[in-house]
Amino acid sequence: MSNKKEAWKEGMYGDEVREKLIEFAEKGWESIPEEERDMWFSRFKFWGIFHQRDGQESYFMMRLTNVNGQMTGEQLRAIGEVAREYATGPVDNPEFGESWIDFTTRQSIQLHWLKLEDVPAIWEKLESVGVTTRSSGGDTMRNIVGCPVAGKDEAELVESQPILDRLHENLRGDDELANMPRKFNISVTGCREGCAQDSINGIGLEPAEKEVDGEVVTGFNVRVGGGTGSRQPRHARNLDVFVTPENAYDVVRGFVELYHDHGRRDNRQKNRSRFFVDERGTDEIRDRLQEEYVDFELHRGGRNFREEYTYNAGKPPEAGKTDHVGVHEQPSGDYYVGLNVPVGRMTARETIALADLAEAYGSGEIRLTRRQNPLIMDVEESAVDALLDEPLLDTHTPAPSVFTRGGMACTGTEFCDIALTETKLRLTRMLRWLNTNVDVPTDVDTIKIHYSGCTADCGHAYTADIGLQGMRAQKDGDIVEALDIGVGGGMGPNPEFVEWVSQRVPADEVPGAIRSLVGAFAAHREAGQTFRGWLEDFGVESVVDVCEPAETDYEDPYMYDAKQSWYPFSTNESPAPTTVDDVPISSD
Amino acid sequence: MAIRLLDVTAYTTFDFIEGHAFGPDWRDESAAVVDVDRPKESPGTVRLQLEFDGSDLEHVEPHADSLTLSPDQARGLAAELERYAANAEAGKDVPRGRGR
Repeated sequence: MSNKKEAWKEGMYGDEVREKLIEFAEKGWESIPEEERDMWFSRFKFWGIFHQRDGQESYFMMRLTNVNGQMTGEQLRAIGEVAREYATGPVDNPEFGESWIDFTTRQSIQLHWLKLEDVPAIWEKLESVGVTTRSSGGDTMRNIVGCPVAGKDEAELVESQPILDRLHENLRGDDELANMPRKFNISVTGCREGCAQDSINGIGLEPAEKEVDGEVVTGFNVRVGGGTGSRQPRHARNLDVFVTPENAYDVVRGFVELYHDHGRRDNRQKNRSRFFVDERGTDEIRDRLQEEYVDFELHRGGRNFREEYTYNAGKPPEAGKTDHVGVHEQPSGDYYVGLNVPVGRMTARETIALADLAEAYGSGEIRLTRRQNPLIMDVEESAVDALLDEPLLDTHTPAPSVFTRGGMACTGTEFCDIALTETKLRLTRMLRWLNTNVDVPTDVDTIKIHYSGCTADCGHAYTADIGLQGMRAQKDGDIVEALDIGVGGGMGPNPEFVEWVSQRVPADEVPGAIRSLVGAFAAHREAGQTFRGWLEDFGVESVVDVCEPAETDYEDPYMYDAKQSWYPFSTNESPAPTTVDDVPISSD
Repeated sequence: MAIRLLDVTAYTTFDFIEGHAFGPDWRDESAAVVDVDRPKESPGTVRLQLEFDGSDLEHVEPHADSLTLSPDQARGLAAELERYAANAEAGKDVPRGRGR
């Protein structure tokens, strides 16, 4: 029996939804019948339009899409201008003010506080420069990720960008496959650093080589069924298939079609691709793929290059890049400069300035990473110092502190219906406190703290040195926002998920807990050890004993909200729903 | 360390309830998660789950409890909760049954 969302999708999904959305936008918020709102909001997600949470009625979030995080200065400027003009709510964020963008963990961008009535004009402006929102949400193929510096990367083994482009255009663009059983994540990377994080995707292609007909050829090994949500994380399993670049598109398409045809549609708690792989097993999936979905002989898996992975791999800095932050040489002799945007949030003004800098100092090309950071590409060596002197790079410095460099956060209760706690502002404050109050050994370049507001884990808590997930607790008689604390996650040759070491820690005691963890690390590590490397020796059970939540002079002014208010930073009544000019719509 | 077994989200019925487990001569105070849902694997039933996830549990192994209720049982439980909620607010018992 189909569930409610399946019935809605069967009724209408994919490209057809766009016309309906425009119709509602032209007639205004009130034209959506109240009893049909849930259905339409569910369908709108395919077009990247997400209704914000309870209390924020009539305001929408927009998620953009792209290929592998790539965009031009012109495109980013248009996005910044849209944010400046339209991403303005009825109340400012106390840290970020109004009009800003969020970089996401899938190399994309989100805008908040949009009015439905403005969506057609926003689409027109964005689409005029080639930016779309199609297929960025709902039960569909999400932003296809890869190595953000594909084609301009010294560590690239095999070219992946043409495959990514084709997957985006022909597979993701195929309306016949718009209605998947559930959201579905694809990654393809040809680089040897592991930055596409294939092990947490529904299907991930990783660089590999294999002897075929007496000749060593480069291509990809295929992994399937990775993901981190619902406290049931899975690493993508080895399908034991090697594909050449020529066949890569067809194998990805084959698996997508297989999951589209056979993935469960009866139970949304059990129908993510990782559970599909649990149920069917890689042998059955490979056999079926061969028999029904591809018309060439599948090769068994080749030699992978995972041992070389350095991206969030828990290796020391001298082993290679753990992220894309900093100044890095491209094979052409030019450089790319990776900015660090703490928790991924940048104002509209800064966004436009970033586009200007990319054009003034580089080729104009900007790329987004999976760590919520932008890269300015193709900067001539002689221009690097002048770029580094620009004020924007002072704010979002390519040489950040250990904690700032490692911070990532999801959206949280500021806008998200399913989060249990606020995230971005809290982590911003925590990072600031950690920067000034916690000493870190000088040979450590980053400690990754990832914060998700709930178990959906959009902030990738499971892959952090120190992972935080939202929860609630009681403190001094009050219900407060609290966090579960885990340690020891990361990617690399042997991906690991965090193990939980403390539960329901009141938010204001979390910095104290992190200080105790980092203190133990500093005291007990061997020279050169990273946080994750130290944990492997020290043992997670021992960490349970040294993790000591405690109040400090860190102040958490929003810990009592616990999702009770319409906006975590406002004590006023909600004005929503409002007109396009943010004027409350009278209920009379 | 034992990790919470129930997946707590914004859809969870209660993410924090005070409670305690007890035996003949012991009592462990703990925070608890309480959740009601409709398990897809047992159509036609209602599931009530309870898990103590405090760090001070000394006498019980980490676990969650799950009750399978028929719709009638679920309504009966809901009615009892409603009745005692009213009683608690009124500070007295409202009679039930034949004499009502």
